[in-house]
Amino acid sequence: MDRVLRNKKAIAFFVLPGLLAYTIFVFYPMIESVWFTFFEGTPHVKFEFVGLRNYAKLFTDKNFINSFKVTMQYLLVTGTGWILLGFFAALLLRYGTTKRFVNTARTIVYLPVVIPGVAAAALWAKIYEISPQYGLLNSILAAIGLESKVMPWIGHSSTAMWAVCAAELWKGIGYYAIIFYAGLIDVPSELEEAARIDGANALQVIRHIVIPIIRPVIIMCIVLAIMHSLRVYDMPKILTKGGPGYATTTLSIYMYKVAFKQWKYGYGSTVAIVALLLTLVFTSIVNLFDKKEAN
Amino acid sequence: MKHLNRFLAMLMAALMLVSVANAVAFADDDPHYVFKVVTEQSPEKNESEAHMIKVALDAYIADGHPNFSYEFEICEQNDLASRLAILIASNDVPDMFNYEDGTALDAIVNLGAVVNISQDFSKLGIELTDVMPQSVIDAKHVLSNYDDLYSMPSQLCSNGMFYNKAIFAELGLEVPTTWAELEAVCDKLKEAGYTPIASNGADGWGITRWIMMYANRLAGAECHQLASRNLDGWSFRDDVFVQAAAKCQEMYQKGYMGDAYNAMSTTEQYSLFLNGDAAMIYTGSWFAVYILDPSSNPMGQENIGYFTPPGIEGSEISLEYALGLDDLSGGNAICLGKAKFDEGTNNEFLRFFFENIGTYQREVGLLSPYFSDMEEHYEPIQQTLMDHLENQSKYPTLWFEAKMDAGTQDIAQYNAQLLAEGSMTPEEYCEELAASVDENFPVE
Repeated sequence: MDRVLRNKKAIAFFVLPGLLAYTIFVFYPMIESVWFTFFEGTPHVKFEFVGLRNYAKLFTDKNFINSFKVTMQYLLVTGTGWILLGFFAALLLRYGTTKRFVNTARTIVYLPVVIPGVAAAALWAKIYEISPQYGLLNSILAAIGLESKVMPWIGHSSTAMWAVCAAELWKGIGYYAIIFYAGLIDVPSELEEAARIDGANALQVIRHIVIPIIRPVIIMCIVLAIMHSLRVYDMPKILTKGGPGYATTTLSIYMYKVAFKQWKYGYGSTVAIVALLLTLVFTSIVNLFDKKEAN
Repeated sequence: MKHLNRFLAMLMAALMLVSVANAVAFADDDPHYVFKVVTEQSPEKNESEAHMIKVALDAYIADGHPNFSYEFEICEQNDLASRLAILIASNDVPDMFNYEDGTALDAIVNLGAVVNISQDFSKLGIELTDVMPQSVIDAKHVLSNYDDLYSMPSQLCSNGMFYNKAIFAELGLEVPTTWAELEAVCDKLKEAGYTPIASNGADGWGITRWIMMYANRLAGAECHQLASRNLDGWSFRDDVFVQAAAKCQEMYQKGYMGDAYNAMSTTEQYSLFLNGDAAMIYTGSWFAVYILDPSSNPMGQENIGYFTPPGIEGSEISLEYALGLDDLSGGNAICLGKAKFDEGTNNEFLRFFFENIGTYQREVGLLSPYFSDMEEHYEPIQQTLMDHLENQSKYPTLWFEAKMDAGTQDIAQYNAQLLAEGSMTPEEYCEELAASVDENFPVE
C-alpha cells in the first residue's frame, strides 16, 4: 500500500478521473460564467461584448442592491438561527433526553430535513393562509383572542421575509443539530466529569470543555450555514415568488429572473459571481477567525 | 459441446439478422416521431389550453398514425421563459409551445426559434384565412410588435367583471354604471361581510389591470401601450397614470379586494368567487369553463352575471366609450418551433391540428377563434360573452404589460404588490416604471 501511495503515477492514475470530472462539470462552467459576465444577451445567438459594464451596473441597480440586502438579512437570521438553535437542539438530545427516547427525539428533530423543499414550502403556505380560511397560525391567533394580529403573513412586505425565515429555520435546524450531536457524543465523558468534580456548572462545562473540543464541527457548520443561506432559492421562490414587491427576492432568485426571464445571461452571470464571491469572502473570514483563535 | 456452441452461434446470428431486418423495415415504413409540447397547463384538465393539443394529438394518432407519439412538458408560467431559453440554447426547441404574446414573445422571436406564421403557414398546404376569420388575424397583428405574426391564438378572450347575482339581489345592488357606483357597491358588499372583488395579486397582473382600466377610462385605450415605449409623448410619469395608480391603491387599501390579495393565486381567486365568498371577480372569458363545471361552481351559471367595468363620470372618456373598452387577448400564444417545422416531419399533424382545434374547443365550452364545422351552440354564460365580444367590445386594447420589455414588466408586477399594500406611493410606482421604460426606449 505504501509503495502505491509513494508512486506518483499511481496517484495520478487514481486522481485523474475525479479531477477530469470536476474540471468538466465544476471548473469549466464556473470559468465560462465569469467569461459571460463580460457579455450581454443570449449565448450563441446575440451576445455582445460589453467589458465591465455589467459590474458597473451592479452599483446602480436598485433591485440588485435590494436582493443583496435581502440575502444578507437571510444569512443573518437563518444562518445564525440554524447554528444557535441547531446547537441547542443537539445539547438537548445529548444531555436532556433519556437514552430510551433519544432515537425518537433525533428522528423528530431530523424529520423536516428529509421533507422535500417544495413540500415544506407548500406546508408553510397552508400554515400562513388567511383566505379562503385561516391557516394554523392565524387560527391560533384568533383562538387566543389576538384577532387583530391575524394577517397575510406571506402577503405583506413587512412580514414576508420573517415568515420565509421561520419556515427555513424549521426545515434546516435538524440538519445542523445532527452534525452537532455527532460531535457531542465524541466528547470524552471523563473530561466532563472531571470539570464537574472541580465545581463547574453545566454552562461552564459547555463553554470550557464541550465547545473547544467540537470547535472543528462548529466551524464546519458555520461554513455550511453560510453557503446554504447565500444560495437560498426554493423556499422564498415557492412561498412568495420573491415578493411582495422584492421583499424576499434573494440573489439567487434575482439571478434567475435576470438570466432566464429577461434574457440577460451576462448580467445574470455577474450576479451569480457576486454570490460566489460573497461565499468565498464569508468562509475566508470564518477560517481566519478560526486560525486566530486557535493560535 | 462443439455442436452446441455452433448451434448457439447460429441462433444468435439468426436473431441478430431478424432484429436488424425488423429495424430496417420499421424505419422504412413510418418513422417514429415524438411531438414535443412545452406548456404551462396540464393537458389532463379539460379547461386547459394544452388539453386541446392533447385531444388533437390523440385523434391524429388514432387516425392511422401509430408511430406518432407525443410528450408534454409542463412548466409554471414564470418558468416558461427560462425553460425555453435552455431549450433554445441547447438547440432542442419543441415542436409547439404556449407562451405569452406581446413583448415577452419578442425575445424568443429575436432568437430565430419561432416559425414566422405570416410567411410560412402556407407550407402546411392551407392558408391562415382557411382556419380563422380575418378579424382574429387582425387582432393578432395588434399584439405583435412586428409586421409579421409569430404565434397563433389559443382562445378568444374578453376580460371583464363576473358577479354573483344572488349576493347582488340579497343586498339590493344593481350593476354599476359609473366607477363611483362600482366603489359604492364595494362599500356595501364589504359592510355585509363579503370580499367585494376576488383579486389574484400573487400574480401581479391581477393588480396592474386595475391601474390600466382606470387609466384607459381617463385617457383612452392606447395610453398604457404608448407609455410602455415612450411613444407620442406618453410616459408613465403622466398624471393619468399617477391618478390611476392612486385609485388602484385606494381600492386595495379600502379592502375591496380582501386581505389576502398578495398571496392569492389565480386558482384561489376563482375558488373564492365560485364558493360565494367574493361577490365579483375580474378575469377573462376562459373563466366560463370553470363556471360551466359543476364541480368547480356549486352556484350554477344562472347565478353569475357579467359586466364591463364602467367609466368615470367627468372624465374626457365618455361612459359609453368606456363600456366598449376591452383588453382582448388570444389567450396564450401557440408558437411553433422553427427547426422541427422546417424539417417538415410534423407538418401533416399541424395541418390536422389547425383544421380541427375549433371543434375540440367548442366541445368543452371554450370560445374558439378557429373555424369549425360544428353547429354553434352556446350555454347562456357563453352567449353573454359572445354577445359582448360581437356587440360591445368596440375599443380593443391590450393588457397593461403587453408592450413592456421583460424588465419593466417585472417592475410593474412586483411593485404593484407594494402599491396595493400601501408601502409604495403612486408617484414612486409610476417613476420606477417610467425610469425602466426610459432605459430601454430612451426619449430622443
